Amino acid sequence: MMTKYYLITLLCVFGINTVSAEAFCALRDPVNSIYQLYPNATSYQSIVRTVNQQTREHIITHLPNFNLHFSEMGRHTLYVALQDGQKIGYIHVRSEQSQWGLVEVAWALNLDLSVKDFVFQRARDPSRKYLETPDFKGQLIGRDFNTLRTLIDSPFAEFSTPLFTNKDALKLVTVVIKSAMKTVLITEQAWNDDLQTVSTVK
Amino acid sequence: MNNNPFIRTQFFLGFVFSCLIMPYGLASSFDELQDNLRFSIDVSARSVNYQDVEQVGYTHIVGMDLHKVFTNRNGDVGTLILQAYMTKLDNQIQHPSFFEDENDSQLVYRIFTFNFTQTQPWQPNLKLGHLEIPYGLEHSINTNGTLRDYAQGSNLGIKADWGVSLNKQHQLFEYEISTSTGGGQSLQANDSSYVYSARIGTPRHLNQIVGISVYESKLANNTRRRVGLDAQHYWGLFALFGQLDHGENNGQYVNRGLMEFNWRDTREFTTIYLQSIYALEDSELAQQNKLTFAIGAQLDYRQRWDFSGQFKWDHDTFNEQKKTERLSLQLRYRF
Repeated sequence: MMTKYYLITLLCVFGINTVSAEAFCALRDPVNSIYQLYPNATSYQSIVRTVNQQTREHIITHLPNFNLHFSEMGRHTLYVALQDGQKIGYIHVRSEQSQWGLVEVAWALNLDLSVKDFVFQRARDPSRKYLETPDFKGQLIGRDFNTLRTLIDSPFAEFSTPLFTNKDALKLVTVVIKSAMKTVLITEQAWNDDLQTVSTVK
Repeated sequence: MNNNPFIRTQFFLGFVFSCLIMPYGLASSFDELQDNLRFSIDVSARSVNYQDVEQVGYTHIVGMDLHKVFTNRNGDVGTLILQAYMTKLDNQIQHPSFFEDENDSQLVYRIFTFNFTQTQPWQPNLKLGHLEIPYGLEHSINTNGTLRDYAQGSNLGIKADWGVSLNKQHQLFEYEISTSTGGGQSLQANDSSYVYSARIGTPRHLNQIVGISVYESKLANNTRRRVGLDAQHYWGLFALFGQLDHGENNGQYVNRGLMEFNWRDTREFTTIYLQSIYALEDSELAQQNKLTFAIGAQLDYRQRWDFSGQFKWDHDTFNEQKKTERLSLQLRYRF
């Protein structure tokens, strides 16, 4: 009987509504991606915040043709890459629907939220290899939200010949660019206070 | 086994408190305690229709799933996971051995660990608590609270145990090595019980994953040894999983094989799977084998509701055992 009371008490103490369909033991930090994207990082710091209805409305306002599905909402983690205690950038993993299932991209963002780099955390699409080349990544690196937006309609407009013509790869390009834009917007909205205050000390 | 709820509860609270404050110093405020916290209440009801004996059993579960990351100025210190579930059986004739009978109720810890991660990149993390035995497919695929599983309980005799582990994810591989008491749910194991287990494999986010596991245990004077090879291959929305085990139970050879073919939709809300599990064991009289199939589906709705169904049937069974057929349905709600 006492056990039940203790359990109920604990439930009340931690009464925070943070829905996730999957048990939390399945969560894994993207440790490999963090150190791959920031080879000079000596450690990282997690900041967990809620992507909520307000964030969703923010996305829809700026990107009317985009949406946030339910699995994109709830509690998510922004990782701050640290080098000897100094903040050197952010890592934010987002998942986006594709014809081959969910694509998880680990985005490295500079302190001004421009794109530093990315790696696929998980992508079942075999055409991912086209997007893992320096030529394609070079298209995204350094872009902020507004300059990413110019890529969405014609990703290779600046080239006389396209980087690749594989149809699946072109679909994946759209997925990745959407993911980048949403990542920047969501980071800006849901972690806004942290971007201002989190530096070397928390 | 110690099933005294008072003693278990004292430990439960003590451990929670220790984990919350030890790596951090005393949490200075309630806000700080809530920082980097994920929390869900998890309610589910499961029915199992044992068609061969014409009985229906029910399991009612309500519990908490908590995940908290502790950080300091040097970065993340570690992660606390606490999954405690009040579990009530009702005529559930097949149940884990820590339930006394088919109508028992227990506070069940699934995972209850603190993983200390503030180590150098080459150094292992240190996990302590009630941890999942690192072995085979189950180590990298989460089946917690679902109908789908990889027969870890029947293969190893235990799925989770109180103990410690060393673990780490590297660029090219990940590993976990554990030693635990053999008590299962109980902290008070038999003096002679123990479980040693380890798995090393390629990173779990890749499209091809291979792992090798070793396991040795003594549980209630039954000894088990295993060497296992597991593999996962993802192709688009389909995946093929396999696991081979070789070892012995009390000195008698055991060989097992498991295969699963599954499909997910593009949003990964729906999963359909087909499993087969084959076991070949020596006995004192003769060699005997068992072949079981399972077909199941799981449907998530809005990250809250989860409806799943599974039909499992024996094609062949060991001598003296009766073939069984089980239809299981589960409704789960997290909020």
